[in-house]
Amino acid sequence: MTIGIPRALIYWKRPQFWESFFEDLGFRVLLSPETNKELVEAGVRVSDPENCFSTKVFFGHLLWLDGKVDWVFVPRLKTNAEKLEYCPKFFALPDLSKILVRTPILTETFNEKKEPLEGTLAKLGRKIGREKREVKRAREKAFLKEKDEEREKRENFFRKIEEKTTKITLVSHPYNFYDDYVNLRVKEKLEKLGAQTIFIEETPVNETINQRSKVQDKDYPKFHWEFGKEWMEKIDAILDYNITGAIEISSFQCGCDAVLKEFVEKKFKQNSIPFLYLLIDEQTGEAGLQTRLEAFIDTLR
Amino acid sequence: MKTYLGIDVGSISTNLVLIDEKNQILSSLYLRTEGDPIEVIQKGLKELKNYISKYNPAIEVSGVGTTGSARQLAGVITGADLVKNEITAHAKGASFFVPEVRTVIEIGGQDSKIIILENGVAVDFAMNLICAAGTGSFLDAQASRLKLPIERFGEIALRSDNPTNIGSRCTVFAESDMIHKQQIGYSTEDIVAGLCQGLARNFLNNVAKGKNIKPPIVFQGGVSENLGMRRAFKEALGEKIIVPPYNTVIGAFGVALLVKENHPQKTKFLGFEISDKNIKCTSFQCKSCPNNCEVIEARIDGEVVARWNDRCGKYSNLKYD
Repeated sequence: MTIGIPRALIYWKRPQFWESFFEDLGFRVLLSPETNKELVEAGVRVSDPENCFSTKVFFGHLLWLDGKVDWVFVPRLKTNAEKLEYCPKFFALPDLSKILVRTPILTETFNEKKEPLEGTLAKLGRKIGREKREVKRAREKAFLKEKDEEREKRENFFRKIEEKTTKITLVSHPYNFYDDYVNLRVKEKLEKLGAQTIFIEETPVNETINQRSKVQDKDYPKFHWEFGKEWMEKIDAILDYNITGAIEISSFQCGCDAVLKEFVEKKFKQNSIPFLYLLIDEQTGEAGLQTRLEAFIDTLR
Repeated sequence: MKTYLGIDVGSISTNLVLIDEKNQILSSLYLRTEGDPIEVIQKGLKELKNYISKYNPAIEVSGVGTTGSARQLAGVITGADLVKNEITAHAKGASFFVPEVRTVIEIGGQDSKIIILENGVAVDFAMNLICAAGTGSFLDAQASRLKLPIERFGEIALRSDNPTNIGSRCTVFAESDMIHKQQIGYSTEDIVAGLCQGLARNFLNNVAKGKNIKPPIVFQGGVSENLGMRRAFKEALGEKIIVPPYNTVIGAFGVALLVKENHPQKTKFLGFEISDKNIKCTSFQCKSCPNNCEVIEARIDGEVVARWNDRCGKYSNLKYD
């Protein structure tokens, strides 16, 4: 039996976990390929134009898997371990996916506000005929892999932060940052201009400091969305290091980003960190992006 | 005599500026790109060559800089020493004429930008994102709809005492709004002035949103020729608007200054002869992966000099001599 996972959107929230989890339960896992023009075009064709660019990309990946696997895994992400909500687009993803493809959709609702992750995973396991203890073992293994990855990210962060180059932090969702087709290879472009990029997600947050001091003098509200809190905390943390500039990359039509951008921009500007806002969609030309990046790097000198 | 050449190739106009070592402008050209950047660059170089042989045959070009949306292409076919983005070039040009400038408003054919400067260098900027409302090509389109030559647009706007309110959030809606205003009997002056106000408002609400606009404010680029737009910005901002000399070719001037400051030992300029050469760009589709990139290939007299527009760099990273 083969489980397909679209290499888009929610996949990038836990890139190690799901592959490991299902493989350990004895399934073959097929990931859709890295994003390319054909996938994006296919996704744009079936998507309502009001959807954000990232959702359109997701649909492209979903369609690619159709007919190639026994199930396509599309979890319904509602709330995370901190009881904060995911983007509302994620809530509806399995329902929309069912309309778009013939291959059965494997799904379960992850609402950690109501049910711990362990419980939901056990339910998911039951759907594919696996015992509780098998699920437990697969879960623990997957967590270990995730931990390794986190450690690697942390090491990467400290290695990069100590370099004596222009250091730019990229504030974006993982599905924009890790997908080089979607972000028009922004990391490579910045590297060619002599800058090192640090993804905001890589920034380690010192929990104790955060809980003690920063809670009182927070200059942003309690966000509704999980990434709002994460971003703002990590921005607070990265400001303690010596970074040269910050770039936020947002998908066109992303409602959450439109709200958050105001706080992100304010925070960097208050700390005298030059800030650039970039919007990406299926029409975005590389030339326009290049011009903005070159000019931004010039303003840092 | 050592001189430096700046070339700014934009969507609507292509500008060439030749300066000497004292930053004096010897010659400046404003040409329409008309969809053929290669031909217009060749034409510009030919005109410049004629000027030189007529007035000062001792002139030699010691450095070439290109800017604008076709800066890469212009750089390849002229053999430029410096290829610079238009924001830096415009900031440089503006701060030459107004050294204490804090804000630059630049509106060209398809791009509009705001640049915030401190001590003569750009520290922040923004460009129009996905929407081209509020740029020169929009004004061009509306002028031809009203059957007015674009050059007279501004003076007509100034005749209005009562500009009509035209929705300017989107070019398409602004156009239907304008047609509606025509049909209910507004005068052309009031409509034209209303369009200018709408454009200025659109620029300030979108492109310049969140930017700290401080005087002195410099207004440049093709649209700064428009007197109606100057008035609209003056009224919307309540500040004096400075339009510098050479306002329409100031990007080319800026990049000429930049190449002069970082002048090469020996210029890579291919010479004025390139205006007589056969320069062609063709494209082909790369089939190596599902991205199917349209790779562009530039040839001078049949020889490939550069390829670009591939996502992975398979062609653009190759070295061509």
